[in-house]
This record gives sequence, C-alpha cells and structure tokens, in this order.
Amino acid sequence: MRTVTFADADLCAWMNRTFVLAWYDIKPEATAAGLGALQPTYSREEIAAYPEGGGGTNVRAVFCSPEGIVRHATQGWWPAGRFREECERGLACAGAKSLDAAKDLRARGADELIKAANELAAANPEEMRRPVRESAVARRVAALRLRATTYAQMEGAIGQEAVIVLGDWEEEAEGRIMK
Amino acid sequence: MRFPAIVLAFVVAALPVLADPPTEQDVRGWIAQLSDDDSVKRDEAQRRIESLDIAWKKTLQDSLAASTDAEARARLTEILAKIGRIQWITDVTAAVAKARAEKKPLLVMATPGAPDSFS
Repeated sequence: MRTVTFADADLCAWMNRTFVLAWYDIKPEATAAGLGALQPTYSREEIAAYPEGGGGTNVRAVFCSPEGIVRHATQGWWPAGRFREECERGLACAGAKSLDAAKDLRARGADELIKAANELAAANPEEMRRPVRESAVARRVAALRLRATTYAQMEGAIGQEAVIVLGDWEEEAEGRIMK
Repeated sequence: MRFPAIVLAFVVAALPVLADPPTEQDVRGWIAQLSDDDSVKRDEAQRRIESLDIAWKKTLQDSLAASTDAEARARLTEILAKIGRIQWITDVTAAVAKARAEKKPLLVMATPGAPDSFS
C-alpha cells in the first residue's frame, strides 16, 4: 500500500482533505526492535503481478464515524482506483445517519460487487475458462468477488469502537510469523 | 416561515460539500496572506493552502520561486513537502479526538510497520 497505492498523489491529496488519517502498527514490538522490512521488497514486475486483495489480514482499513465507531472495513492490498472506491463507500458509511443505515450501504455494496463480477464473467466465458493468472478478466472477476468477501469477513468490526478493534487485531498479530 | 431545525442542520452540514472550489484569486490571496503581520492569519492561510487539491502544486511552486519573503518561502516549502503525501497520525486516540473535534470521518490503516517503512 505504501509504495503503490499511497504513491498516488491525487488519491493522497483527496484522502488528506476528506478524512482524519491514522496509521496503526499491529506489530509495534517488531518495529521497535528494528525488524525494519517486515515484508520483502518487490521488483516493478512483481508489484505489477501482485494480486488485488493480497496481503489479507496484514493490511486492513477501517472507516469510522467522527465519534470513532467503525462503520466500514476492508482488508488486503488494492491499487489506487479500487482503494478510492472503498474510501468513497467508507465515507458514505461513516456519514450514514445510523449504524443500521451504514450496514445497509455495506450490504448493497457487496451485492453490487458480486453482480459486477457475475456480469463480467458471463460476458467473457472464454476468458473465465483460462487460469486466473493468464487472464486479466478472470483476475478482475476474482478481485471483485474477493472485495465482497472481505466485507463479510470484517462484519464483526462494524459498530465497534476503532480503538478496541485495533487492539484486538494487534493481539491477533502477536506471534504471527511474517513471511 | 420557520425552517425546521433538522433541515437547517442538514444545510449547514452540507455547506463544505456545496461550497465552490477556490478560485485563482482566492489562492493568490492566501499565498499573499502567508506574509501577513498577524501570525493567526498566516496560520489560517497555510491551513487553507494545505487543503488544496494537488492541481495547485504548480501555482505554489511558481509562488515559491517568485517570493522574497522568508516566512512565506518557509511556509510554502513546508506545504509543498506535504502536498500529495498523506499526513498520518500514529496515535489513534489523538486521531479520534481530532475527528470528533473537526466532525470529520476517520480512516485508520492497520498493518505491520510504520507508515514510512521501506517507502
């Protein structure tokens, strides 16, 4: 996220204007011990080939109301355009008039992603028969479905105080071996 | 006719979204204000400029090149270093307090390492 998504100056300028932005290190002991590059560095070619949604629980974004209550959350790496889409959804959820309204927005968002994936797959049957790694269309379909899946995976955080959710994730990350 | 309070609240809350984007004249005025004798006005001008879209970067760079005022040059240099880069807050409790005070939504990235790790 640091070197690709957050290298997009337009996205960053928009994020700066739109949100209060916080960064939570879920492995502070490793950082303090100078374990520096907790992940390997990637070449330009490897970055280009890195799957959307990759990284799983190692990279999560939570979008909160001004009172610090989680209203939307997602996980995995997303390029700038996709991440902007999630930010737009997060913004709408954070500003929703109630927690239930935010949950409705998330549910509709997941449905839209699944619908877009299914339509793209149906329109490109030949591409969908190819291995995912060999087809940009198949990868796009997989990415859309994965985004919808992460909404469900993060459902437990919705409605919780961000500080508590983040503390739970830090505990969860303790002892997890970084590859 | 009295406006219902809830309608008025909606209009007030929507004002930042509905406000027109700054004009060239606005921006030039804020840049000039960086040299104001009043430090409060200088700080306000810097806050406004820092919130500008990255499209204004060239204008700011040109202003820096043309400026002979030390204070304005220092502030423009600081602004240009920040523009297009995310200003992360690493204390989440402080970030929540800021979000509450400014009535802005909060976005938290949770991942191993510091924001400037291997960037």
